[in-house]
Amino acid sequence: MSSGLPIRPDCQVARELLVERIGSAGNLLASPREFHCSACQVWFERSLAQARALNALPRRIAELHSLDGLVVAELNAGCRQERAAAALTSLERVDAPCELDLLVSEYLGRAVHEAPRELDQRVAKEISAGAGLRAERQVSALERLAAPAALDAIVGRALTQSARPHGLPLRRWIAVAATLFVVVGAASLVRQAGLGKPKPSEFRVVHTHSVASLDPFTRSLLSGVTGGAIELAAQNRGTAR
Amino acid sequence: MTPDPDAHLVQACQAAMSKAGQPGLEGPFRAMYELYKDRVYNVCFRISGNATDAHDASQETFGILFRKLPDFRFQSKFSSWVYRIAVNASIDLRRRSRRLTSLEGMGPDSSRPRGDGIGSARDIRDERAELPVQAMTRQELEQQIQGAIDRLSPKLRAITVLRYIEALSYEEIAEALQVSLGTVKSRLARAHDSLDRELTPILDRYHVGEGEWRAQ
Repeated sequence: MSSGLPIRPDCQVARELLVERIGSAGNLLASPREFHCSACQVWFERSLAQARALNALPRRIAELHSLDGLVVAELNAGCRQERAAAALTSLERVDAPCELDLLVSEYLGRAVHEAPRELDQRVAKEISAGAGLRAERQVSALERLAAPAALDAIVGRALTQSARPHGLPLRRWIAVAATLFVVVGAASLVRQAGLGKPKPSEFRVVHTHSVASLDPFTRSLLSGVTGGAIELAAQNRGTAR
Repeated sequence: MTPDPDAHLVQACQAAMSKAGQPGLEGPFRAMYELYKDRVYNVCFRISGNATDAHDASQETFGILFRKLPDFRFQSKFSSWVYRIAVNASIDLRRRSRRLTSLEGMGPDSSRPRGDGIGSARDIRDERAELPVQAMTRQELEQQIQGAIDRLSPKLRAITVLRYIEALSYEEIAEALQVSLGTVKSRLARAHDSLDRELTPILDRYHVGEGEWRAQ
């Protein structure tokens, strides 16, 4: 805030010199010989009056007892920060109250119930879509793999093996032999039961290595059961020899 | 450098503190308190602008003073040091209480009186008995002058109070406020600039300062 008096750029310097002539009681310490300008002269007169008025303000006397008490309290309260720190560090630790458990569990329970509505919609959509949506989601998420190079070799080898001439494998021969054994056994039993006198608890087991050694009835029966495979095998064996 | 007039008292306090630790308001401390309490209180009153804050700032000043006294090494005059503490405490307190007042102003309790102003119940004016009309006029004038001081910036307020109310020399003010002599003069001139607009009409109305000096 500036005074209402006009001021030139160099007035401020002049006024700083003038102010030295004003005593602390608003008295004139030394009369200035001349003023910088008329505005500075008015400023000086007014400043003297201000200083006089300020100095004339009554001295205040504090209510002695109250200020004394405050100062004593301030002094006795010395080392306040240290004492406050000591008091704070001496405080006992307090266990969390039981109510806290309840509050926390209640809060958590509430949190479960407060699932967003969007979840309901998504669950409903999931259910209505059935397994197809889930499978699609899972499958579409799978990474497509390139066929390994070893696959070519495996496939090629398999194709080569499948091109071999057909012949009855060993397993089939075993199966045929086992079937033959069972059928011959059964036929022998039937024959004995039909031709001879009944001999209770007696039957004969015939071991044979060749279909040709069987009697014609048994051989025809066996041929019927195997769909002619026995006779075909016997012919092949004869051709090979 | 002239010896500090308070050197003996300060050293007595320092000796007492080194023996007994924290002081009570007894012995040399009481003497120091009595020596400075009026000066401290007046600086605090004129800078803070009200009796309540003046009490608080004075209390804080003496608290700081006695706590820091053992470390005082006479690098400045003791009185300058005391004034510096008082000025800073008053400015700080005023800043804090203004912040508090502005916060209170937002609440429902904003009408609560703070004991501000001249003539508060908590302080007494040191004056002779006078006629009621004179007393009223004087009180009004004082209020208006104090109002003009209050509206100065903290720096200008401090320098005005130290110069015209505590009657310190420029050197003492420079030492107390830790500024140069040039700064003291510059600030004082600016303080007069600021006071002129508000104070001159008041002084004219009350006919203060008239006729005692006129430029030749």
